[in-house]
Amino acid sequence: MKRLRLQETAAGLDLPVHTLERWIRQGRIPVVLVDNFCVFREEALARWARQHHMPFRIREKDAASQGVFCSEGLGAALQRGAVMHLLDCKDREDLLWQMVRAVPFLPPAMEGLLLEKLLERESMVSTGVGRGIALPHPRVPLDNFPEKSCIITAFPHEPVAYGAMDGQPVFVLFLLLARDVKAHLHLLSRLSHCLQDERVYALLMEKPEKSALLEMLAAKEKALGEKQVNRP
Amino acid sequence: MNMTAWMKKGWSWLRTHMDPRLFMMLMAIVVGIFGGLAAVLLHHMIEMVAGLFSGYRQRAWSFLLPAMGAAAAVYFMEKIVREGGGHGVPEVIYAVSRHGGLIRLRSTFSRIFASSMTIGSGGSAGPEAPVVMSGAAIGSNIGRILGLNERQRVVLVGCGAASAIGSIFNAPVAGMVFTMEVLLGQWRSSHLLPITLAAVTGTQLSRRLHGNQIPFESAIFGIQMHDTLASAGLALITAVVAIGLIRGMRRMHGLSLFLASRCHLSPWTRAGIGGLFVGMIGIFFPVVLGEGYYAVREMIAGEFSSGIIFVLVILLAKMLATTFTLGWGGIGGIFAPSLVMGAMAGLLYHRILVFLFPAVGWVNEGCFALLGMAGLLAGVLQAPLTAIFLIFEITGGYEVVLPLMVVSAFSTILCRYGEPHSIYLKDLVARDELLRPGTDGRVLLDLRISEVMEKDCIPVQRNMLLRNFIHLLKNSRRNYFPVEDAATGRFVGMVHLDDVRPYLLDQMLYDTVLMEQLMHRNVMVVHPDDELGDILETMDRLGLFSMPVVADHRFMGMISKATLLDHYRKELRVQTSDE
Amino acid sequence: MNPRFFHVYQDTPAGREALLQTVFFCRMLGAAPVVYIPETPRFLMYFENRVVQVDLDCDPSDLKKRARWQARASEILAGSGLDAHFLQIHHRTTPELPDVPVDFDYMSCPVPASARHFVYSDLGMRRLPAVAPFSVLIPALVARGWKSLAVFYGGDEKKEGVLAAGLAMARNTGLPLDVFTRGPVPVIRSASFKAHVRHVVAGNKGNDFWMDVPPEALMIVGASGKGWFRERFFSTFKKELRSSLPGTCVFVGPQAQESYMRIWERETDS
Repeated sequence: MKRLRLQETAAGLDLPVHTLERWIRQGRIPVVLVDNFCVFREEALARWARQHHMPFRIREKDAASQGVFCSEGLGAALQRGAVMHLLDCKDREDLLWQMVRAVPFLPPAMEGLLLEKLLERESMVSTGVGRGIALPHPRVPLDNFPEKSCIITAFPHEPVAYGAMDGQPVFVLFLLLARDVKAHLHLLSRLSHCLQDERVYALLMEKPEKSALLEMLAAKEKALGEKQVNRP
Repeated sequence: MNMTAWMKKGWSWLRTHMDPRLFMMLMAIVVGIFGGLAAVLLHHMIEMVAGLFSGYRQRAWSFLLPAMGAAAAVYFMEKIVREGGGHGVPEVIYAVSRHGGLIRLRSTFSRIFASSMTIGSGGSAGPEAPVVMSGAAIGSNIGRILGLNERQRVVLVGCGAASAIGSIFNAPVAGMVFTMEVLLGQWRSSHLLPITLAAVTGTQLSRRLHGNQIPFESAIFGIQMHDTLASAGLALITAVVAIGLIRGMRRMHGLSLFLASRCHLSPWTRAGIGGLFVGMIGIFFPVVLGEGYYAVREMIAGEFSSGIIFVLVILLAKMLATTFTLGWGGIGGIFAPSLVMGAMAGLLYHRILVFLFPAVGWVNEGCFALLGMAGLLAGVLQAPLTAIFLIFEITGGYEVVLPLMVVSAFSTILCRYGEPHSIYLKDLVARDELLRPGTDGRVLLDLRISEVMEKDCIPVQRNMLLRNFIHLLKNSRRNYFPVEDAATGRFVGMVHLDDVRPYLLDQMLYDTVLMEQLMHRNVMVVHPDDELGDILETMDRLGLFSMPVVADHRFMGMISKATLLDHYRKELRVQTSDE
Repeated sequence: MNPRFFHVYQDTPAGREALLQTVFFCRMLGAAPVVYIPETPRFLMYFENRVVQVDLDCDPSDLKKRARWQARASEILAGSGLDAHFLQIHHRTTPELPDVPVDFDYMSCPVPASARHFVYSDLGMRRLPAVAPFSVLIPALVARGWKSLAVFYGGDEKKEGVLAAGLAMARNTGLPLDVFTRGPVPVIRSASFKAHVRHVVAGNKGNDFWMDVPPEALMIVGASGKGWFRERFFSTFKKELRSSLPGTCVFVGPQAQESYMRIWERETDS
């Protein structure tokens, strides 16, 4: 027997509260209402929901989804990827190759494929967005990889000629690997927003450690998130 | 106090932990007992009242008895229990279809007393509709007192009715079938099983108290094929009689109402006048008085020895007496008079057959009387199954089942040409109140505007600049924007995204155009009390896809067909599933 | 949405007094009156779990008569600047038995509280409040305005709903509230509510406080959902109050108390 607030049950079934209340009164749903609490057998309700093609998911309160390290957030993605310093490299291709090899959990068989896709994207329009920053990424996400988005950051030893729009050599690269296009766009917009900030830019110039970078970006993202929540 | 608290706790534990189906079975037995008792009580009451009056039957003024009985019954209904007239079955159907089977507590007993007065004193009516009403009310109120939900309550209403019918006719299957076919209008296993059990309980109870008697015991007939074929012809006669009866009732009712309003008659005087006519008919044809089961027994036994003309006259007399009793406001059911008239019609048909084809070896006239009962019942109630099972059970003979089915089926179909709806549903259909489960109207009835309303529309003010509006557009998910007056908060109009689209990219207009200039002023609005059926009709008529909900000049939300479809499908699935 | 007040208008002197009290109540609480001109001497109200039949003592009136009633009612309403909204019946259980909707916030009891029928008399005091989600106004015989509110609080936690109703109405009208209790003195935490309480009077069985109730007060009384037998044959606080105080009363049943409690809790939380 599970006991849950009426509002929570309604949210779990994706129904207006009025509708759930009425269905309980009419006996159309295997739930009994006791003092504004729904009492039900979880598996019975789940079976009922399946039979009626309705979603049923009791959402446990997870604070994580509100915070910085939500599964699709910028901070989490950075956390998952590595930050590489002082890479010695010949050219753009070599740099990307080194970055690809640092991607966590990437099967070796897919390394070549990923590099190919990255270069294909670069050949269309360079991902060097200017001011010495590049955001390499595949045009469409790879099949079944990664399960969770990650970002690999690289600071080459010396700025690399990257064919960027403003012609400047690149001193920092963020390799974006997202699960799907939507997550990719979300990450990209978050990241570009952060990079416009002068303080972030100044920090990047210093080629910081992973912890410092993470702290800075997480703070930025949090502020951004709050701003969006407060939106009317 | 502690005791009650304990009981409450135990009850709520039972409610939450017991398997709902098993629980309903248990409840069905409880309701079955009470429903059966109500039927037994009615039976005894009728006998008692009839016994009370039997001493005066020989007096010269005995033709006044039906008038007294009918007037007393209606006075009881109007003044003592204050319930009003009618035979009750449409009320049960209405309550089941619209209000989860909520029936007034007073209905549990009122019609038992009123109809026993009417019938016992000689009014031409039957005890079945009153007992259905009482049984249904008993089921409903037991469900209410125990705090059951609507679906369970509806099942208990059915249980009460089935047990009452089963008990009064000693016919459990007929009770069950009548409930499913006429009252509930749906066949579901979740309903069928408790109702079966209740019918069995009620019948068993009455057998225990009355003994297991079959009301109209029939002999072995020896039916042959030509009898079965001939029964199709009988359906024609029963259909004509059924249509005549339904129309006669309505005409009589209209006439009585007209006269009552003209002469300022109270309902009980009206019923009394009707009863007076019945009494006068009864002087010449005493067979029309009361429920008339004695005559039916005679006819089935083949002891009714009168000619073609007399049978026809007596059939018309019974019809007239019934319309005078029920049409003028008497309390009682149509079931028993239909059975009597059906038997007469069967007899009439048999006489005609013998007259036309004297050479053919026709079956006993009692058999046709029986078939006629089924035919008329099927026609009047538009319920062939009920007719088949009832006749089959109250006569105790399986032999007649083939012609029985033929007559019932044909009679139902033929009657439908003249009167498309049964006598119970007629009134409801005429008022557009008949909502059977799973129909469009039933689904829409349950959806409230507050449930389907979209509340995430962003209101804008009438003097807002286009620039601010475009800023606001970024965060909105809807295409409609209600416009409100800044000072009073009154709803003044609507802006659709399409109205703004041409100017979206024109920066020049950003600071020159106000929302007021873009909005539609005369929008059709909906009030939260309106019914969804009407709203959808308006939308269809005007070709709209969404309408704003406005109450007290304030915008509440939007109703749109797209969201409605979503809710409608969910509602339909939930309402029609048998779980 | 504004609160809505349901009134059944009967064209008798007593009916007119009742309508005047409804008008006063609506103006004080900012409610919109919804007036029903009866067509038959009885109607049904289907509540969530029970159907209540209301029996009026007027005759079934013909159309011409109804038009006259309606004109008179709208005249009274217009006289005090209220919009007259008349209820249209959409559904009927039987042709003579209209179903009246129940989603209102207040209702005026159309039947005098004095008992005339053995079983079905205490409509406004027992049958309606027991199941209604709204409070029921019992009009006094003669219309008179009121200048304060008096709430009768049973003094245990279950009955705080009455107090909540009284406080909410005091806040909406801006009138002072006197609390009469036969149990412990209630604790009111919310400041916005507390400001309205003028006196708290405690009494017990021996010490009646009827004379402490101000003469021009609207009485707010809780009504439990007790059964017919108990209310009929035992003395209850409600009956005692009705026989002692002749003024206008509001009976707040358990369902209505629950909704007031929700307002009260929301207020206390914030």
